[in-house]
Amino acid sequence: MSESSRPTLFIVGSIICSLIALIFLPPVFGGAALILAYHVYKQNEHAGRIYLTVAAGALLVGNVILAIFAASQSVSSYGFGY
Amino acid sequence: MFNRQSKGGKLGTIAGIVVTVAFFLPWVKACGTLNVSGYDLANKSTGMVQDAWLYWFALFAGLCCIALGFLVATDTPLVRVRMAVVRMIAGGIGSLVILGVWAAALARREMVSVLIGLWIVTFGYIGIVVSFFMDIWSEE
Repeated sequence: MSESSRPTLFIVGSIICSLIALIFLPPVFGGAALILAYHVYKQNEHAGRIYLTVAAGALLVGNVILAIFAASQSVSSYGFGY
Repeated sequence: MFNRQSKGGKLGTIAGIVVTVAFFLPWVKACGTLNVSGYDLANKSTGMVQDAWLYWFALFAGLCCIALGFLVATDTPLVRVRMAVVRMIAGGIGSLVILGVWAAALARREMVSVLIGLWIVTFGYIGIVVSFFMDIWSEE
């Protein structure tokens, strides 16, 4: 793998992980997106900041979606998570 | 080491202390009389809590932020952003638990009421998120 293609790989990986984090395991894929975005930041500060923001946003939005989904699934069960 | 922190690093450390303290305060009142803290939920001391071990992540995130604040100096840009990412990952894991409690409490409003501990821990997590954005967008 050439050095020049690595930033593109990190950018694509970060975006894909951010998209997955919106619908599946946000802490895992959001965390992966943040780590990949950090590698982008090391090579290009401005672009890295944007991808870090996108990854953090995806992590937070994914968390909210998952929490609402989990609550709606368990609302018919008895009590407060009991 | 705290003095060698960026602004976001300092905010993250304070937010971590807030989260850690609030973990032991009452979060919700269930069934009218039962006050339940994060520790009670994690420790299963209030009954059969589903996936109780997950609640330890809420404490873990706070402790992680405190440890980063007192062990790592974030006075260089690369270290500052690296530590902000670590804080955000820890905060992301912990905030999922808090959001789950909020969603469950709001879905069962007639049985569960939110207490001061959950509000404080929520503000702590908001502080962790704000500290992340402060550190990555800082021009220092």
